[in-house]
Amino acid sequence: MVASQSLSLPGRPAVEATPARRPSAGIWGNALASLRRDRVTIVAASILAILFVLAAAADLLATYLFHYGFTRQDLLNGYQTPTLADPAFWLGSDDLGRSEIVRLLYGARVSLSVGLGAAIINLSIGLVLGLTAGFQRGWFDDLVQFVISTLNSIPAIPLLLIVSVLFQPGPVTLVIILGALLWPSASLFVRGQTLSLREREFVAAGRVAGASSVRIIVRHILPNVLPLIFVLTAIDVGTLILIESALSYLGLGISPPTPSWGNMLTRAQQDLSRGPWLVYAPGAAIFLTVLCLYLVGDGLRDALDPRLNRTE
Amino acid sequence: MGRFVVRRLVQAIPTFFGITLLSFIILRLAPGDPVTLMVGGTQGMRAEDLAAMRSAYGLDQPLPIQYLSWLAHLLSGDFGRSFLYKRPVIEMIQASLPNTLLLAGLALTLTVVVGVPLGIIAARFRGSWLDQVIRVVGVMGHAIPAFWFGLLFILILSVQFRLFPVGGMLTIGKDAFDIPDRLAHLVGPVLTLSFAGIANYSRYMRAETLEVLGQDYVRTARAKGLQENIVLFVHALRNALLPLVTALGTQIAFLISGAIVIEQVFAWPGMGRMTYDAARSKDYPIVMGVVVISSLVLMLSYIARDVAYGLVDPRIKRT
Repeated sequence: MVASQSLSLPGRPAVEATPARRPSAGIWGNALASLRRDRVTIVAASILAILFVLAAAADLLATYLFHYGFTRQDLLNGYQTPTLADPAFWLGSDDLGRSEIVRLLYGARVSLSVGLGAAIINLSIGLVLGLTAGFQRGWFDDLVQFVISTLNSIPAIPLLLIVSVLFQPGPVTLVIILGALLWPSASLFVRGQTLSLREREFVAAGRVAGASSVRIIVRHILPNVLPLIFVLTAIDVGTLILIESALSYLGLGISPPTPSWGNMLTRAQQDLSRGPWLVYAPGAAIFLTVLCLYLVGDGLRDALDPRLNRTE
Repeated sequence: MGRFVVRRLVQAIPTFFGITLLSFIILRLAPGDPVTLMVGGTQGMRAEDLAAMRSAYGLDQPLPIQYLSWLAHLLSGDFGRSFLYKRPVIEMIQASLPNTLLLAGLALTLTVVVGVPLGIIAARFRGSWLDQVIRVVGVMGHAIPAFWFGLLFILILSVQFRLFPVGGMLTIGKDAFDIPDRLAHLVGPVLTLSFAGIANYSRYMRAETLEVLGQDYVRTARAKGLQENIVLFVHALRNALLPLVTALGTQIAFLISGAIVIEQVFAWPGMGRMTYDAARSKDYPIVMGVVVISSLVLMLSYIARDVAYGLVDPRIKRT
């Protein structure tokens, strides 16, 4: 077409003619269009984006804005009430005189990366097992279902407790443990989708055309499951952050001196009457992050599945 | 029906082996063998003493044999002894379980009694401000960390306003049958443990009720001139309530996990707190006993749920 040809005149750099833009159809285009109208989701996503930036910039902010490292103690300034005078004490200080806001930022880093990392493992396992089990059925499906029903029969926190007692995890081990133990819901979901997709005409057409199972799964089923995986990711990261913070609160997840929102609350409980502000900030951070993740998940689901949003 | 129960029980057998096998594998994958864990480091122990201890506990046997003998002990109710207290694990669990059951039972009751009506109200007055409020609370209850909710309860209502005790089961020095004192101690933990469930149930119930209200037979009921309340309570609710039975399974799993965290927040002397203390002091026979027993409880409640579902909904095909 004419529009996509490049225009070059002698003596001037070639100018790429921009092709006329058409509103893209397809599932992503539609989703984007309906997301644009969904104010709650946009606000939630923006808050999350800000959180990610702040967490990523924790080092810079600690050095140049707060002038206070996350391990720096000042025993004479313990239980400093929140004050606007010194940026480091915007949210007060804890019993050892450490800056609450700086520790909150580093905690964000830990919570977000543990949540994301474990979610990626969860979803990879869930996706591979769900697709294969749902498509192949038979003994492999039975085996996967057996493992899932076993894992689902063990209550999460006791299981995670015994695993953390025995392995004494650092952040990386914790990601692996959470990722390896909490994939069943993702897998069940993908399997359900695959089971219904494999009966569709385009799969039959692929088979008739002689496509291999792997090709059908990767090229025809996966693209149909993928959009909803983003919904699952948002919700899964939220749930994982809740679980990680509970474990860290119990002293069996991320352990001090690495600050995490959960273990900051353990410390805060030691003297509630002297430093009540130490309870508000970390909990509010968990709550806000998880709330935004769930809202984004809900918003994405409504946007991606036009049939769903009518019942709400 | 009898055949269905039997079939469901038979299906549970492999799961039971799965649970015990997984527990056993986790136990043996951990760095250090049980003797090292039990004596807390083997420095200064003679090699022959170590070997004698290993063989006394059967740790020189092949792993499959070890698993089977561990399983045989489990089946006869022998969960081993606590490293720290040297008391049988099963005895310690029996001592602390009633307190947890009290907490979890009350929380479950509150969840259903409050959550279900909230969902129905939201659906009945769909789109109104009441519906909006219930929905917002529903989303928030889902995202709020339960232990933080508990901490806020303690901070605001117990520490600042001194309305409720900070923790424990009863005030030290008071009579063990001081009912008002006991109730005051229950408010915080029960409320905290049920908040997320209430939020869940109200969301779930709202969706189910709206779903049923959209069905043809409801339109028929409305068309013959019935009042909206009769349509809702007599016709729609029966069907909307059915899926809640399924949600009970998830709720019980949540309560078991939640109790461990919440008992810690409120210093409630139940199984959860015992598990936590055991975990902190690496007393892992106790933690393992709790894992196995709570899994069995959960497995049985899943079976009970499926049976109950079959009983209340005759349309379920029992295949």
